[in-house]
Amino acid sequence: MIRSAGLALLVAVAPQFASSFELRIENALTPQERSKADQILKEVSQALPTEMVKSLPQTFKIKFKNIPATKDRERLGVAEMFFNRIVLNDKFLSPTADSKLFSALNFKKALAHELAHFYDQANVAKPRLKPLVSYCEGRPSYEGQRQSELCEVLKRKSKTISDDPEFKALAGWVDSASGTERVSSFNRRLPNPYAASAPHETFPVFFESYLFEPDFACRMSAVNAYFNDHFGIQNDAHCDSQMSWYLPGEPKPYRTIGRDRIWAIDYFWASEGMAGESRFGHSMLRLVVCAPDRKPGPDCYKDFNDHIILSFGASSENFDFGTVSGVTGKYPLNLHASTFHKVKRQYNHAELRDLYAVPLKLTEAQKSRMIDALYETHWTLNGQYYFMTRNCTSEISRTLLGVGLPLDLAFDLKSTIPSELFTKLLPSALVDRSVNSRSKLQKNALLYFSSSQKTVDLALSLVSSAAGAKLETIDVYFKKVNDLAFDKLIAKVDANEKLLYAVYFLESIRRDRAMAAMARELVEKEANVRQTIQEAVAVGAKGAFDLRFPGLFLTSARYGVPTNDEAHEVAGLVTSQIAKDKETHQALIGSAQAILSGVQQSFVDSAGRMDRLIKMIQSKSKSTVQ
Amino acid sequence: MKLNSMILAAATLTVLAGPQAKACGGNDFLVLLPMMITSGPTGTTFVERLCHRDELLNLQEAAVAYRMSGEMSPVLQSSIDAVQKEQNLSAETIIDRLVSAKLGAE
Repeated sequence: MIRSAGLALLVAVAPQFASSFELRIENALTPQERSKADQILKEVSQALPTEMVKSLPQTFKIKFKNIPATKDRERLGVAEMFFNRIVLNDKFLSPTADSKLFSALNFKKALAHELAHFYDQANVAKPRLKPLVSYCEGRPSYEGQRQSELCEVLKRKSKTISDDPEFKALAGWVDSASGTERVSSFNRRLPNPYAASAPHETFPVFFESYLFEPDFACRMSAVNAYFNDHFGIQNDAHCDSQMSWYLPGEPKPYRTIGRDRIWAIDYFWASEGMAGESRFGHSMLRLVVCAPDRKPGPDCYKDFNDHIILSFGASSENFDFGTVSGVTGKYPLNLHASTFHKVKRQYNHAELRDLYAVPLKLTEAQKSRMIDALYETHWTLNGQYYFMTRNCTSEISRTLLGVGLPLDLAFDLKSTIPSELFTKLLPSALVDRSVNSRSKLQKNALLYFSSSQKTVDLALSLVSSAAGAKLETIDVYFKKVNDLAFDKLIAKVDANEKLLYAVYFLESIRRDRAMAAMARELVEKEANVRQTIQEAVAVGAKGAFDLRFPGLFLTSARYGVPTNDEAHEVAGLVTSQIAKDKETHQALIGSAQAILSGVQQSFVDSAGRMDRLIKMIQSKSKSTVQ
Repeated sequence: MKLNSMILAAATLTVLAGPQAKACGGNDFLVLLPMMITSGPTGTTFVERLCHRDELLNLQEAAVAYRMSGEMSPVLQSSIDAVQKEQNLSAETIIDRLVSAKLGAE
């Protein structure tokens, strides 16, 4: 077979480099092979970002040869750094090779992949990092003076992108004491699973898709924005602006919103709780989503029904969380979405904890990237929760690191402790001075939601004044306000209407507690009841666990965030799974329901206090129909 | 397994088959939340989530607090505004209805 001589291909890239950037094929090829190879090399070279070409060696040797497959996969190319040579699998030129694996698209991607390795290896210093590097180099590291974490990271940095903390955060890699380790299971829905095989393979895999797959921009929008920013490319992708968030437990568990309706993002902190695991609070984020009829603007803060709370959390198959399991990564970690009202109810009322919303001062680009990163995480992260190191706070810190904040600011905010992140955020450049302290937040009713203890205290003070005795706690109220005392209080409400509502509020709590106690007693005493309840809870817990994360229902045939068609398909699958579970466990559910309904029905408000109070309230109704 | 978790989880589970769930319309199913659920200090063990129950319970408390203090929270004001866009009701009517609604222990 006659092979043509190895001629250099001068590739037509951006005009200023056309004369210098050269991909030189070393092999002797047939005319057909040569034609195919030239075409691919030309297309790849033309697709390369100008900023990248500037930093690459200006001459590459391209060699086609047989590259033996490993036991797991075909090897498509190899970057020989020392020789400025890229070796490509010669099956790309063979008409008899697997046409899917060795397609023209994969040919281009394989070449782009290897070129990305060269660019990465060059450790190109981006302008935004230079001042930080200079600062770190100028700092004396004398005994007892530890370099900051950022300086340590920059000092170790040896790759252009793979080592960039911002890219690593977006790609799901975290630093550990021993080097770099992968955020476990953050390898779902990748363009190619090979991206998660090692930290330095992620960028080349993403880059090849970035160059040659038009839907990459919409499937991995945050990474796409990072690449555009890095390479100085203006590349407006026309993605579907609708986002589907999964809110388990809601009547409509999939909430679809236009991304342009997200006005702001707040750090949302639940204050310290009494339980051991909540003594540092809990970190969440609030998407300030505008109501459909509201023009996006600051008034969207009033649209509580539309706000979505995001929380990185662990899940258990049986509601039982063990400390050892929590520390050793036995629980899955996902990004859960909830309604504002659900979260408010849980923390303010059930746990008597305050909620603080700290608006994040992000640029439009940072906000956009954060929304994209969170959305992708919501659909694809199925990681491992570690109580101390990978938790609600670490993942929010990581998200912030990946959205293009100044690196020194992002590193200052790194934390694994909710109260610490709250404390670090307040004085930072990411928070407006008007709301940069607890006391300032507490004066803003759109950003601070006090625990129900405040309502309880108000009610107690009103009752105390009327009763002429100090009732400091609700338990003291329960003890002292017997039937006689109750009647005396009620006698005063005509002259003191506020007292009526205070008594009503406190009595409603008494009723709820009494019913809960009845249910507990029943479960403790009756073995058959206990068994039924236990079985029902086990079924419910398992169902909730299986349906905790929408990405479990996505196929791995595609990558990144789902299209709206895919999201709707998942919604259908979840609905049908729940219907199936209900059918399977109908008898058990019915029994459990009957037991608890029985408790509720058998509860007798001996003095009929609640009925009396409601009648009095109704008789005092101030309402008039307009 | 903690007793309180069991009770509330079961209470929530029963809603799956309850007539109220059917009243919620198309997607009338509930999923138990994957989180530790305990009886709160204010005794909310029986408060299960149903349709917009969290919202209504929050609003009921805000309405009672308003009657006690005279201060309207933005959460309550926002919902009143939303209701008034749909229905010709006065704020006082809406507050009255919220206060006396039987939500907690039904």
